[in-house]
Amino acid sequence: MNLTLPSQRVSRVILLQLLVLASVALLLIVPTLFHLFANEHAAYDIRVQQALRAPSATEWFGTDSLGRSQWHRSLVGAAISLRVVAGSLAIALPVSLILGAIAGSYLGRWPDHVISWFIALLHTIPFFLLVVSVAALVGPGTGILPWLVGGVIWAPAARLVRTETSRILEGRFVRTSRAMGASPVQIFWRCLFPLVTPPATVSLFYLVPEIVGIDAILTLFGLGPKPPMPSLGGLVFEGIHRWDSAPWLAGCPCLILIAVCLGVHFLADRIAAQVNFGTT
Amino acid sequence: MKKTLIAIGVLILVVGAAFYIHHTQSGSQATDRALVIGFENDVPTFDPLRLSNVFALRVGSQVFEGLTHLDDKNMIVGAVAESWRSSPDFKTWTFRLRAGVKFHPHATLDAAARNLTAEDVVYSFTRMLSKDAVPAGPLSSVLQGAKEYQEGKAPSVSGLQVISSNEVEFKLIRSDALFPGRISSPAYGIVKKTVVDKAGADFGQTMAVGTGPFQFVERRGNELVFKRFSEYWGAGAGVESLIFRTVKEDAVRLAELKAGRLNATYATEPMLNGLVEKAGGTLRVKESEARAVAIQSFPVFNTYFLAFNYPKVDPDLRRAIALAVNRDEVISAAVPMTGMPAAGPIPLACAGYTTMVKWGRDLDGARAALDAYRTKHPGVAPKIKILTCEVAQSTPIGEVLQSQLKPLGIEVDIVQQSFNAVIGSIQKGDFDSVVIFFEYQYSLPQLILENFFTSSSIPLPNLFYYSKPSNDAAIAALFETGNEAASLTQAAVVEKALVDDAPGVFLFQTQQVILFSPDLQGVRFNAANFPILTNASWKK
Amino acid sequence: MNSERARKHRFQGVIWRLIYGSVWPVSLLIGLCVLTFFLSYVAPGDPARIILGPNAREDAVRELHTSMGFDRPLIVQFGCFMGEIATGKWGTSWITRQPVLREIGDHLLPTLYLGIFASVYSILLAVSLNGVCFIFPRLGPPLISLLRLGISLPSFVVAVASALVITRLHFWSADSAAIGSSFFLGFAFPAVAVALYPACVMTTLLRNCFSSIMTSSYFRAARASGFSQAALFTRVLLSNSWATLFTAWVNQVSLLVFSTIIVEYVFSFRGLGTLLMRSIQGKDLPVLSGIILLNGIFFLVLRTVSESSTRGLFEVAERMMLRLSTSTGDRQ
Repeated sequence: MNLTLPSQRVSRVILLQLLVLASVALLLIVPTLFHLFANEHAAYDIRVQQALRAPSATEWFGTDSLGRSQWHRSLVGAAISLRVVAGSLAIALPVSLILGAIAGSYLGRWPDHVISWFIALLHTIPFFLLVVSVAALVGPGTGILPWLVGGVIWAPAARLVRTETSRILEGRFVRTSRAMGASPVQIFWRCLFPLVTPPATVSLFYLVPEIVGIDAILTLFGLGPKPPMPSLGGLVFEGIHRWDSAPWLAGCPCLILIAVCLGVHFLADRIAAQVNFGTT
Repeated sequence: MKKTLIAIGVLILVVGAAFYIHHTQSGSQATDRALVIGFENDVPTFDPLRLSNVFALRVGSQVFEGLTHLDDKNMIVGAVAESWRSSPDFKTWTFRLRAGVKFHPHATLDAAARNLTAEDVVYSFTRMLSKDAVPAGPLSSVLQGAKEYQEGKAPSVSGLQVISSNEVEFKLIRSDALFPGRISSPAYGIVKKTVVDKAGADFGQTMAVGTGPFQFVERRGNELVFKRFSEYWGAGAGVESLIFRTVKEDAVRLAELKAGRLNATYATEPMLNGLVEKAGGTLRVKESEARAVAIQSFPVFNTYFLAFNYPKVDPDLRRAIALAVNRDEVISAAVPMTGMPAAGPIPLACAGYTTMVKWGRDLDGARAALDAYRTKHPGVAPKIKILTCEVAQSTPIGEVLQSQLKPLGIEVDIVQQSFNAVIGSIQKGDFDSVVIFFEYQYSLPQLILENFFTSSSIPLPNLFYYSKPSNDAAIAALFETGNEAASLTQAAVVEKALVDDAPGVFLFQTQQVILFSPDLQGVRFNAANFPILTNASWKK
Repeated sequence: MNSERARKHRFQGVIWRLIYGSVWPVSLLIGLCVLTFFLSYVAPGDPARIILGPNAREDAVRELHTSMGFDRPLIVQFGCFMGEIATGKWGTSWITRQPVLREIGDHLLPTLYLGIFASVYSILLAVSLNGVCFIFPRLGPPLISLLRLGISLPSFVVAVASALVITRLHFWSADSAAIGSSFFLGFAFPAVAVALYPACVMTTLLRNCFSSIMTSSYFRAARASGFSQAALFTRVLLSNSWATLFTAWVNQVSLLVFSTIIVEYVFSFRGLGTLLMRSIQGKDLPVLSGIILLNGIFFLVLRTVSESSTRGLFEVAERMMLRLSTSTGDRQ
């Protein structure tokens, strides 16, 4: 079975796939990198004599009220928060692809109605409310968080995949392949998957700031990682208490947060430009 | 046409802005300017029966008064009662009520009904015995007929008697030389039956009527609004209007104070950073800030501690933790400016009291206790959950303790919740240990010991759930003698035995620092940290 | 005769359309109720035990368990739950023993005021920024970069940063008369913190919409026939992008709710955010379910209204475009 595309489009599609794979890998690797660079002792050891020192050459982000290095705490916090983000994306991406593809291929029939109904249901409540409520009932800790967040953010991506799928399946190329006898699975893998993954990844990447926000608000409610484990949002909120006397406590973790979000946005923009896909 | 529309739009904006600015500025220029006090936590209820935390007590003390109260010199003086006498065996106490004490105005009360009567006192004390009331436990252990009334075997409390129109007699089941001090907290406030019946569950939440210097006007969003009670029996010609406003964020509260939108606030340690400096043992505002902020600092009867849920946590583990704690590090981390190390619950500022508790880190003793624990529970790693709240530096203290216990092999799990949620968990007994603080409403060690460490005070204020018959008996014996010095010495013995039993780890006590606007004067506090505002006024 | 039958058919058609159109939102509402109901089953442990605490006696727990109906079959419990919701008895709070609807009502105003102010600000900001860019096209690219920066940040960072800046501005007043009495103007300034992030998103979306309109034939026709800048802006650009703006706002409302909670925390407003925090930490399931249900109903209504009205708005917009093209003599 020879499902060949014109050579230009092949290289472009392959490039796109590589870009997407690279982005996802980066998202998974970066937390580990952060953890590698962070010094656990500096992050957790309490040295009261060095409390609340301003940023300097030795302490890039200064120290907090218990003398712990804010730079290392930010790195550890970023690693923890990003792991949640990466985990949620890793769960949401395949779910959205599969469910969206099913909905798109059976457009107008009962699988589409059921899946669209679930997507609409998840859109009726703000994501953070659902995640926070379930987290409150299940208890604090980061174990269940990627599943919770992943379990709600697949919805917008799935909706996108559904529209794209129905559009692609109408295309001449797919109809030709089907006429030539390709099975639905082959069509999915060779035609649909490469074309639909980039837009889905992009829309999930655009949701990363919101996931980080959910992580922060969980810490606000006391449902985040248990002390002394820092989380990026938690560091920011802790720092706000001492905003007057020690602005670096909130400001510096914020810088890392902004850098991460900007980086993810940049990646998403690059992929979107390649796909010629307008921002939502 | 379009130009007219634009012009009208701009006019509306300008008028709206002017109206807004005028409205928000006019309040601060009025002569009956309100005294706004900033709180770090909200107060859901200040019903005398439910004064279970320090913020509620501070607010309750403005509205409700009992027969006695603590004045600004920390002496027990008469509030609603003018004088009292007791039988030689301290088992019968007769209080003579002050003439001319009135309740705050209320729809159900006509002018005559607003006078305080002996029946009101009897009603209030009977009400204090209801289930879940904070004073129920301590009162029922002392008042004759209380237990029978609580169990429904008697229609009224036999130990409460109206002797005459202005005298009430209390009969006790045991000698209590300190009874007037015992009932000096606002939790023993006198209320009026008709008002309470009419208000039902709203009493203390959206309406409240007492005899105190300020009457409750309304609850507005995050504020509790009070008005000076013009017919208050005590002297006072101070501010007309008082507001307690909840602003949880320290940074915002400080900014509001500097801008003049708050007039006073209880300072927390993070707020003092950069604002005050220690000069010769006392605290002083830095030059640069002196224009916007003034301070007052005074010793308070308080203690900060890690309380164990005594029946739940293993004794060896408790002892190990108590011996392993390094108080100096905790103080440097949490309260470097206002903290003083203390290993017992009795405030160091109690007059005439010398504690027998010796404190200091004993790592060998801690390790020995841990070995005993491991022998009894082989294969089980020593582990404890510490509940912390977002006020009073609870979480940083918890983190310091965690880092101190880790080298010994004790694993600490910190769970942070809001203050009200923590109080709720404590009431249900849903915790292993909690980092929290007490502000005592009593100035006498005997009353403090009885209120916080006897079985009848479980679950609040005895949040340790500490119950030991020998301890109960020892504390009861403290009240039988009229010899003050002997009683205090005996109290010291009881305190030492208590601390050795490790129901909690007492960490430190603090001075209270109040920040206020420089144009405010006449604000005083007693050692229970209640504001006494009858003479507060604005400087001209 | 024929016209009467036609009219009757049309009327029946409308009724059927209404019924069919409401099946979808009603089914979502039922789904929401099921979800909320099952939330209480996610909580580990006995709800009666959660209310009374581990120290309560066994018989007290069992009594409460029975009196609250937790031992009845699931279907029966769900049926009672649905009945209570329909009749407005949404239960009582486990912490304060007040009815849930009353608790929510007490805390609703600050959140509502913040939301209203923030929505108005974001729409005004989107329209005015785009107006400025229309008049001064050179401002476009730097503005876009700034907006993209704003969008890339998590909304809570924008909300918190602007809230902290606002507390430094001394002419904003947390005056008791303003906030305490829920005097709505007191929320005017804090709402800016809530509005900034949605404003960035809506400005960008509106700008994209404007760009596509500006390349269209009717716009070029209008400009060619001598419409002034102001007329071009209001009669062509704005009137054709209402639908986009409205839809964008509807999509931003959930983010608005999020930022509102954060701002409420920073300023200690006693709004729904405070209630949510209290019910989450105190495991107050009735209030939590009530908040989720209320939110769900609000968003359902909002989306249903927006979907039907944007369809209506599109028709209106089409008609306006037609009128415009005829008036400018496009039809030649």
